[in-house]
Amino acid sequence: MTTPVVVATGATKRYGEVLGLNGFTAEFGPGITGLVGPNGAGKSTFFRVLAGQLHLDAGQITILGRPSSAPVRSNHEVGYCPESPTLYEWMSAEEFLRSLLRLDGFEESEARRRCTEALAQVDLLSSRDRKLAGFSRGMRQRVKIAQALAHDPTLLLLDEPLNALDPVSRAHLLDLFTRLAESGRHIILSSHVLYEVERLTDQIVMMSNGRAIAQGDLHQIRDLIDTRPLTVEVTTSDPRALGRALAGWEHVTDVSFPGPDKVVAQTRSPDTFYRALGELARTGDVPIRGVRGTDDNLEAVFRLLAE
Amino acid sequence: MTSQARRLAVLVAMTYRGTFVGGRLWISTLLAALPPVILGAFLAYGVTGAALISGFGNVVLLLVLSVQLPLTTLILGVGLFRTEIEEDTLPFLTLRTIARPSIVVGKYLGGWAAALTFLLPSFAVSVGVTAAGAQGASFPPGDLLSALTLVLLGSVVYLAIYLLMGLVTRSAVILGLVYAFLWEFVLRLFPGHIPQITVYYYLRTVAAELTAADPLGSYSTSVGLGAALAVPLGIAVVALVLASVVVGYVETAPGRADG
Repeated sequence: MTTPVVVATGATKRYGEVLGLNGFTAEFGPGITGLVGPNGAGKSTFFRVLAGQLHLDAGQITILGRPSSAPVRSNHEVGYCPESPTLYEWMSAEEFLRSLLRLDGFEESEARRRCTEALAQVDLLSSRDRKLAGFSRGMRQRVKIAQALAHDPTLLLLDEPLNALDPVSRAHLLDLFTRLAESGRHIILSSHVLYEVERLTDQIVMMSNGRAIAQGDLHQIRDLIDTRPLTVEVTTSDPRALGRALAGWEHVTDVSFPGPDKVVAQTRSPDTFYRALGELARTGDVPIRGVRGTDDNLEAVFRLLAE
Repeated sequence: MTSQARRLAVLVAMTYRGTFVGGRLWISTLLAALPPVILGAFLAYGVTGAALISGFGNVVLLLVLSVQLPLTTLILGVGLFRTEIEEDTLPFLTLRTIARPSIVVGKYLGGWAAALTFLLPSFAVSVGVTAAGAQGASFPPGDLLSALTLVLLGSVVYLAIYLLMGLVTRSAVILGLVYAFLWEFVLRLFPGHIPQITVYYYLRTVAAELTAADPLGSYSTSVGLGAALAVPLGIAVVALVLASVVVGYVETAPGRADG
């Protein structure tokens, strides 16, 4: 029998007249659970409740068996990667991690060891002495993930951890999350791109307007989405070359150039598209700086599911 | 050193270093330069000897106590938590095993050390400039102790008040300015007991109790040195206790989340 690590029951959070969570009921874990929903669905609100930053107006959430409203005395069990890209800009990556580990009570030598290990896990060891102010958005994401896992927590809460990452970094982190889950940790990660979550787990909670609109096995949800085209925006320094490559793919139905460094493609097979794009990035023939699934089509699916 | 004390020391160091960035650094440096520059101007215009020493007292009262101290502590104090809340970096601290009250104390001590980094050199250079132009005259007994106590005690209490403001309201800077220049500045001009609801009243009383010489020593007050010391320190303690409660139990997220 598997016991969920996080259970939300009728969780409601209001921001004045606006409902951030609207009777949200869902179970997460064990293992990896994806929380998928469009922008404004309430994903970050949910994470902030889990992190103790917000309190529920109604309902309850339990984390590892404890109510989220209880003042947490020891957080060694939870690692949190917030969505915001801001860090302590005046610090180097190593100082940042080491300081946080010291705040967790680790001795200097142990903090140093864990810091090195965590930076290696997110492939940032070579940038350990660089000031965070000079880090790209993708590097910031990886530092945030490193600080979330450096103290070896049981439960990782990752709010949009794959945002702004290039395809190679995404692939690297997806592998890392898989390894962490295999080693017994539980992960809840949010995304507005269903397909990247799908690469990690079948357990999924879909969220819209503060409610869970679908939960459980991903495949049924995916079948529904695969019947609809998906629009993806790719950032590159060579849009012509990328456009040529994309136009040659059988499943791509439309390619446009909305900006000097952007290419927007519509695909009938998102899964195949993301795999092919990852391959293209790895070959290095076309420099790809970022990938973003636009929300419009996904929201259409959410609306469909909500009906 | 206990485990919590070590964590506290780490947070003090983090906070201290984080203060010396951006606009805060430049404004605080500018404010720190003002008293010595003005005393230097006095000297340049031929004000020397006892007149310059009296000028030092007036600079302490009119510039340091009324402008530099509240503004420096406002700039540094408000940001201690507000910046972290707005930029959503506070969970990096609150999700650690360091106790919540220790987070408040650590940030406060780091901020206080940073404030003193601006205030004390400014004070020392001001004293040096005055001494250089004293031409044989000397500071009256207790004058320097009085002025230094104003700086230290004032920074203790104002920083705690602004830290709390930064924690509880997004409009902390505006509220802080209103407090510094309407509440503290205007109410002290009222007759009767009304000035007693300002921190200024107690700071001025302490200054007057420590020296008899004008201008620092001349202040009409109805409380003694003990009460004048206890009230600002009490206010600082209450502000920090309230801040600890806020950090422990009140929501500390920025505005409505997007995701």
